[in-house]
Amino acid sequence: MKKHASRRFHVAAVLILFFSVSFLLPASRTGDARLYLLAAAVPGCMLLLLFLPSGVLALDRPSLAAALCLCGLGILAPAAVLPENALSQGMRCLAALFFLMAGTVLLRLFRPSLPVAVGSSVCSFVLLACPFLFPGLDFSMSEGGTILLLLSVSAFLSVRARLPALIVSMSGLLILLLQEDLPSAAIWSITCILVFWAGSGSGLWSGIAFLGIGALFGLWSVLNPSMLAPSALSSSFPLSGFPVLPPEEISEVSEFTDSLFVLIGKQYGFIFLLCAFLLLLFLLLRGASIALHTRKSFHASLALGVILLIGTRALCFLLSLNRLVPFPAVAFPFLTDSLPDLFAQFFLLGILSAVSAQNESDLSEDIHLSMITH
Amino acid sequence: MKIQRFRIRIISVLLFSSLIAAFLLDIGSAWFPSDHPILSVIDSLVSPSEESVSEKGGPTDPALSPGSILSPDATPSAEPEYDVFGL
Repeated sequence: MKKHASRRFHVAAVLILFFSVSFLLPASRTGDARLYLLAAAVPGCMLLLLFLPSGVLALDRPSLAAALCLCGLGILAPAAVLPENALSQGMRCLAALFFLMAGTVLLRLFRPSLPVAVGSSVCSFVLLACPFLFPGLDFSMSEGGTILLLLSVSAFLSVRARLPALIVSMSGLLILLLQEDLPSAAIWSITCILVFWAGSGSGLWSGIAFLGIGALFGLWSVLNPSMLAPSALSSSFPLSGFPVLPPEEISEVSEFTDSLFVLIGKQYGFIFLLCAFLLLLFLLLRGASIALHTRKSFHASLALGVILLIGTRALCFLLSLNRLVPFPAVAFPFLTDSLPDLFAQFFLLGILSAVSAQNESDLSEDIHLSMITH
Repeated sequence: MKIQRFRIRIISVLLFSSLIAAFLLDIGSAWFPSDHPILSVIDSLVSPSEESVSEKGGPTDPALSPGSILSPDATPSAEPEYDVFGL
């Protein structure tokens, strides 16, 4: 236990030192007060969250440390040339931390049953249909909606209600296709098929889910052939419009329109990009480990769904850099300036933390039982 | 639960391998821009010899059309399309 705490202390110390120096170097060069503020606030928040007593919120520290580092890199990316963008990204990440806690609390209260599953599926439909219900809305709630869909499908599968799970997942996909949100539809389809395959325990049901999703996509592409036309796709690629600038010219750019992941590569080089990618792999590996150590089918499906939602998003982003996916680029997880996306990703992390806390409580219960019997 | 764990393991392996493959593909595309010397070596290996082309009545494969990277008279572009990795 002491060894574990000491390792945690060393990792936290290295992270805090790294981010302090990373923000202090440009701050001392430019003398910008906002960078000095970030040099104190980013490591301070990390310190607070990584050393929060485990009884307070029971956060999963390894996955949280990886996500916080990714967010730190996202704040660091524009810091040297656009401190105001770095500060606003920091504020977004700070706001998203509340959703981490919301995710943890929600899953602790969530008990998988038919009424709860129906309730969460209704909530997910409302979130997904927001663009139809409120046409003036200028941001998408698709990611939040898919999280609630995942919750309801996992709950249905845990009570062996496979047909309602299939109907709910298909209806969610249909709404996503109707609002022409192809990236979210693709991410949800992959997640749904694989969660069905792992959670239903039946090849027949996962085959039906696969065929149903394929049929929906096929029907949609027949009805909307213009959406998949090469001209429509090339105009909707935000990455293709970014000029290839050498590092010394980046400082002359007034506003970045590119992904934060791409910006890290342009500003700090390949090593930082590799670090960002490895941090995401570590987070997913931790998620897979949590999914493998659960006792309940509901928690296993949920943890698997969380890593699939995050992992498939990262995969879509990496493939879209080479235009290998037939839809517009999505942002790399935790390296996005979209507030709803950040909220949703921290909410997913909160769910993962709650499943991990449940695993630990099961383990301590086992130890207690074995001590009683012996 | 045992089957579920086994399937989760398979899905995780698939996810990790596809992520690593996509990342390596991005590195590859940034590392080897279209004017990289190694591509001309691959070009010479992949392109058919002049005799075989004349026997078939000229290059009909779209990959061998002028401008294609496999075309013998391809003019490499000055810069790669994406230089995400700063290579």
